[in-house]
Amino acid sequence: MVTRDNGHYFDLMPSRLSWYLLPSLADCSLLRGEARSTAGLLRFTGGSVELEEIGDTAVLETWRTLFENAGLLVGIRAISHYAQDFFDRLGSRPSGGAFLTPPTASPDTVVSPGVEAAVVSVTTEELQVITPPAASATPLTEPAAPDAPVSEVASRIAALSDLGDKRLADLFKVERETFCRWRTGALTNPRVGNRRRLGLLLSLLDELAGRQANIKDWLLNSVTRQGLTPYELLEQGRIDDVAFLAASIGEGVSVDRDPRVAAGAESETLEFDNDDAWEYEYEDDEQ
Amino acid sequence: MEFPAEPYQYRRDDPFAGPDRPVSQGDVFIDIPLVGPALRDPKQAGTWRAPKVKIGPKALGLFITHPCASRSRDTYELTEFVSIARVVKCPDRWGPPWDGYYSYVPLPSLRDGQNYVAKLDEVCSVPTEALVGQRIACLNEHGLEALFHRLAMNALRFPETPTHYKTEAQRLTYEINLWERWAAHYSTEGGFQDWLDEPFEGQPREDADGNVIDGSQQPTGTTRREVLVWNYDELGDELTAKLAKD
Repeated sequence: MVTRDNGHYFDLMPSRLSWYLLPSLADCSLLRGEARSTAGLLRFTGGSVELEEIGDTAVLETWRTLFENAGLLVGIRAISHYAQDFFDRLGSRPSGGAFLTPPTASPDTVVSPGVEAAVVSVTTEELQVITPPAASATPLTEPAAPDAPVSEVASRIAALSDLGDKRLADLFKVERETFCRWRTGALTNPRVGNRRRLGLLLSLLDELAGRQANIKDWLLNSVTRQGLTPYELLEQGRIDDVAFLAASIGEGVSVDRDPRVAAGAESETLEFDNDDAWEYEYEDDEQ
Repeated sequence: MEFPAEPYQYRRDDPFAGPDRPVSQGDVFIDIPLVGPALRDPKQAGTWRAPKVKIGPKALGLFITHPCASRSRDTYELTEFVSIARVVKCPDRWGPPWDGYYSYVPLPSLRDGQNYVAKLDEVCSVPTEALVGQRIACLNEHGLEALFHRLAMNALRFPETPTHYKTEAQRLTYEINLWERWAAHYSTEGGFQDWLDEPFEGQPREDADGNVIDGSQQPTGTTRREVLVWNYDELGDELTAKLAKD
């Protein structure tokens, strides 16, 4: 296990991934093969773990169910698309702990994908040991700071949009791996244009979130007058068109109003200097 | 929304700020002819009197009309008259963070280190020929975004600050930035808008290490104008290449 300098990220050797992924406590398991193919990055944030690979919503929900049933790990936000293969092979999504099996093998047992469940064994205490201090990332309900690091901006974009790395990467004309590295902090210096575009997209998504839109659904499924979805408009670089469309979404959360305006009470009249006065001439003045 | 502490792209105490920059929304002018409101003549019933046209160093104004409404759709030249909000010294009682008073647009440290305000309730029509060589300031994208908010609050009491303000302020700023480079190179504003309506050559892709892949750009069927906000940097590169050739 390698600890990054900032202490918030852990590169886990694939063979060790599952070891730390789930609490043992007699009721959790994970296919070793799946663990190997899952991304090698985990982010520990307080009591939660985020797998630093993006997946689609269905997979996300599957894993959330699994981890919530485990009773310890929450806040799963993004996972590998490989996970979908895993669940596809098993034929159905887990529910109610269907995949939770008692320990039957050592954590180092290698099991071929789709054959058997390998036992994961890690205790709550062990997990606590490797949990770093809580991350300082801004909550999604608050706007990111103007000088927020690229990893925070990219992570917020991923979280707000619920789009996969590939889809987001396509908007920026970069490889999926590149966007993933922005998100995880492995790459901190996008080109100037993409740094600017990250800020633009985040502003747009923040507004959509404020309007309580189902952002992913809106981006991918609503059809505009141009016959394109907002995502397709974004792919073409037409973000101002999308911003226009976003303004037409329902009111969303209440908007802060100046209380004086809301109450109809005007501010006290301001007194201007003499450069404010107009000079009038009347008949008598002219004579 | 918070009013930016530094809302200017250019600012000078005296003209002429940004000599190559096309005149646009958010520009501040000095020594331009301003016309005030007519009043009833107290000595002649049924007669109205206009004040003397204000001119000179105290006659300042803020250009408030959007370029789409102040330039010809065909030639992109300024219309004969444009709407200007009168600019006066700011009363001492008002200052940062510039809360309330939505009929005024703050112009902090506009001239000689003094704060001024544009009065949105005192707007007059000014001949564009009178603006030539008289500009002392241009708003930057943050200043423009704040101006949009003030205009909406003053006219509609519209309390939101939608992303549209930001993207429109960026779009306008980016367009004028590129146009300024064009005008500086060719000594004319003409031709730029046609160039902006030509197809965009595309955004180059990057490899996994973030390096630009030469020749990887693909046109998406959009014009440069349509991608101005998203692809400003690439458009700047395209313009640089064109100016280098001409």
